[in-house]
Amino acid sequence: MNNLRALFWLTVTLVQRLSREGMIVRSLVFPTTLVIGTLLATLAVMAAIQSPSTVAMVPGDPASALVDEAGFTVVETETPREAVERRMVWAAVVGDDIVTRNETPELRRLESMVREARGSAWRPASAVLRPSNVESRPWALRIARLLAVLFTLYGGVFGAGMLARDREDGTLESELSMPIARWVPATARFVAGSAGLGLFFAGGVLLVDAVLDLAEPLTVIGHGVAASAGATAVGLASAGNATLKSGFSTTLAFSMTGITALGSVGLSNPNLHFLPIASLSSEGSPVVPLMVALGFGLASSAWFAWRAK
Amino acid sequence: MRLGTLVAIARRDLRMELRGARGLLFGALTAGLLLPASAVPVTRPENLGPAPTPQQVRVSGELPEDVGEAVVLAEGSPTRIARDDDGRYVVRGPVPGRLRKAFDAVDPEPVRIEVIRDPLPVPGRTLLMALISSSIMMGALSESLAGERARRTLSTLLAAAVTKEEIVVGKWLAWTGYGATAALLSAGVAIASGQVEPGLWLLPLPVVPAATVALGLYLVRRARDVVAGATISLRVLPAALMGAGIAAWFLGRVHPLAGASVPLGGALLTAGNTWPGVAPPLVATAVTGACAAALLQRTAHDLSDDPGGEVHRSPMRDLVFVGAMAATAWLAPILGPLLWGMAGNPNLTEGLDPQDGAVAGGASLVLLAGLRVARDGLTTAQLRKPTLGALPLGLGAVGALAGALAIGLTWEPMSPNLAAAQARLTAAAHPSTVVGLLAVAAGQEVVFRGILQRSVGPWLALAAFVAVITPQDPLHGLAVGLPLAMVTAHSNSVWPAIALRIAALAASLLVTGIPAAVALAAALVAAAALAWTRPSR
Repeated sequence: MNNLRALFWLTVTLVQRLSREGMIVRSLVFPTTLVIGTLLATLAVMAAIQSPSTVAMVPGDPASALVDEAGFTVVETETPREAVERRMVWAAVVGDDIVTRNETPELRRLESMVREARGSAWRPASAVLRPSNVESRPWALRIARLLAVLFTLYGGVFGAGMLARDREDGTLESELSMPIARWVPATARFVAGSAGLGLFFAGGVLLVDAVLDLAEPLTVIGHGVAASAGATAVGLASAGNATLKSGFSTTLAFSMTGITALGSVGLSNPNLHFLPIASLSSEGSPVVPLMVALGFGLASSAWFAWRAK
Repeated sequence: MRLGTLVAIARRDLRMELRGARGLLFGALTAGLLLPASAVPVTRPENLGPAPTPQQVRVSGELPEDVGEAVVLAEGSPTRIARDDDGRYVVRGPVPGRLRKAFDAVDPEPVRIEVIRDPLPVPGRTLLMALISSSIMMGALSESLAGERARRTLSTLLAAAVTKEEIVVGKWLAWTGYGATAALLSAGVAIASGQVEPGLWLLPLPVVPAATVALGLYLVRRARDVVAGATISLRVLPAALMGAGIAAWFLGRVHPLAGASVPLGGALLTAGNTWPGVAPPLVATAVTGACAAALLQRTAHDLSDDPGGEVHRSPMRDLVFVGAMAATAWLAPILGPLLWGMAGNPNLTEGLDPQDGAVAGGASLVLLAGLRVARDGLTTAQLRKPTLGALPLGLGAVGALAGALAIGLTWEPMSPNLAAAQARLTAAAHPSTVVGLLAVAAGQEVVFRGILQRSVGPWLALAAFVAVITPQDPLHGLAVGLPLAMVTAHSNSVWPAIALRIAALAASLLVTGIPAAVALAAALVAAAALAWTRPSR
C-alpha cells in the first residue's frame, strides 16, 4: 500500500515538474500546433488568394450575358488584356482567348461559359467536384498518424531523458534512498510520461477530427496512446545508467532503434498489430496494444529495479 | 566592451566545443557540405533527355470519334465525357492537357487559355551556402550557453570581471566568425571555379550566419542544459530560417525592398542574389544586422546563471496570454472548418459538425487549464472546497439556468461568412453529448471563472468569456457568465460554477420556449442578488 501511495505522489510530483518546464510544455503542444496551424494557415492563404471573379470583356461580346448570369462580375472595356496585365481584373476574354494571372477553379467555369457562347464542339462541365468530409477521411487519418509518430518519438526521449536527467541532478538517488520498492521511481516516470503524452495526443486528434473529420477518432487515440506509452517504456528500458553527460546519445540511439524496429514490424506484418507502436497502422481495436504497452511499462520498471540493486 | 575580453571568450568557446576529434569532425562536416554546394556544376533540366512519349488519355462515358487516337475508353476514369442537348461534348472531372489539345485540334471555335506569369525571382546557389553555413552551427549553439550553465561555468564567468554583454558578444563572435568564414570561403571557391559571379550578394552572405547565431543564443538563453538547448534550437531555428525566407520571397514579389526588409529572410534571399540592384543587399544587411544586435542585447539582458527564477506575471499579461490561448483553443476547431469553404470546398465545411469542434475546443481548454494547475497548484484555478450557503446556491442555480436558456439575442451578421461563423458558434454553444457537455463546462469554467477571475477579477474575466466564447451572442454570454461569476466569488471556489454550468447546459437541451428577455432578466436579477449577499472578506 505504501508503494502504491508513493507511486501516486511521485507521479503527481513528476507531472508538476514536467509542466513547470516550458521546454516540455512547448514540446507537447508543438506537434499539434504545427500540424493544425499549418493546415489552417494554408487554408487561410488559399481563401485570401481566391480572386474576386471580375472578368473584363469588350462591349457587346456575345458571351457577356452568359458570363454575367453565371455570377461573374463583368467589366466592359476596350482593352481587356491590359486590365489583366494591370491586375485590375482577375481574367479577360480577348477574342477567342481567356487571359488570366491566376488559375483558380473559377477559370474552368468561365471557360465553360465562353465555349458555350462561342459554340465550341466541347466544353468542360462548369461544376467542379470537391471531396466531401467522408472522402477526405483517409487524409485525416494520415495526419493523425503523423501526429502519433511524433508523440511516439517523444515517448522514447521522455522515457530515457527523465531517468538520465534525474540521475544526473540527484533526484533519482534521493528517491531510491527512500523506503519504497525500487520499481516505484521507474513506474512513476512511465505513468507520468505516458499520461502527459497521451493527453496531448488525444487533444491533437480531437482537433484533427474537428477540422478534417476522422472516421474513428477513439481508435486512433487508443493506438497513439499505446504507441507513446510503449515508446516511453522502451526509453526507460534503454536508459540504463546513463546521465546527460555520459553516454546519453547511446541511450537515445538504443531507444530510437527499438521504437523504429517496432514500427517497422508493424508496417511489414499486420499479424503483429497487437504490439504497441506496431499497431499505429492498424484500424482494429486498440485494447490489446494498450494492455501490451502497460506490460512494457511494468517490464521496464522491473528491469530498472533489477539494475538499480 | 573590451576587445581583448571578447576575443578571449570567443577563443575559449571555440576551444571547448572544437577540441580533439570533435573539432576535426566538425570541420570535415562543414567542408563536406559546403564544397559540393559551391563547386559542383548544376545540371539544367533541358539536359535531362528527350520528353517521354505521349500516352493516350483515359476517359469514361462516350468516346468521341473525331479526337482519334488521343483517348482510350477506361471505365472508372474520373474524366467522363457526355453530350449535352445540342450534341456537344461536356467533359466532367479533370481535363488533361492532351485531351484539351486533341479536342481543340478539331474544334472550329477553339478557346485558348493564356496565363500571364511574372518572371519568378529564383535564388541562386549562394543561398545554399548561407543556409548550410547557418545550419551547421545549430548543435554548437545549443551547447554554447546551455552547456556552460549545466557545467556551472556560467556562474564563474558571471562572477568574474566580465560583463554579460561581453560573454554574449564573445560567444556570438566565436560562432559568427566560424559560420561567416565558412560561408565566405565557399563563396570564394564558387567564384574561383567559375560557378558564380562576384557581386553585392557577398555583403549579406556572412550576415545570415551572424543573425542565426544571434537568434540561436537568444533562444537558448534560459536553457538549463544541452538537451533543453538542443530541443529549442533544433526545433525553432530551421523553422525561423525557412519561414523568414518564404516571407521575404513573397514580400519580394510585391517589391524587392519589402522582401529585403524581412529580418534574416531578406539577408538569406539577397545572399542568394535573388533581386537585382544595389539597394536590396544593403537594406537586407542593415535590417538583419540591426535585428541581430537587438537580439544580442536582449540575450545579455536576460542572461543569468539561474534561469528558473520566479517570473513576475502581471494580471493584465495573464488576461492577454490566457485569453489569447483560450480563444485559439476554443475558436480554431469550431471556426477552422469555415476556411475550407472560403478556400473553395464548401462540401467539407458542411460535413464537419460544430459539435465535434465543441468537444475538441472544450478538451483543449481543459488541457490549457490542466497545464496551469499542474504548474501553479489547484488554488490558481480556484479548485478548492467551496463555502456556499443554500440561498446563494439556489440563486446561482436559477441564474445559471436562466442564462443558459437566454439565447436568440444575436446580432445581425454583416456578411455570409460572419453568418456562417455565428451559426457554427451557436451550434457549438450547447453540446449534445455527455463528453462534450463535460468538456465544455469544465474547460470554460476553470479557464474563465477559475484562472482568469482569480487573476483579474470577475468583470474582466467575464468580458473575456463573452469575447472568446460567445461573440455570436454577447447577451447570452453575459447572462450565463454573470451568475456563475458571482457564485464563484461568493464561494471562493470554481466547483459550484462547474456543477451549475453542467446542470444548466443539460437543462438547456431539454427546456426550450422560454422568452429570451425573461430568461435574461431572471439571470441578471439572480446575479445581482448574489452580488448583494456576497460576504465581505
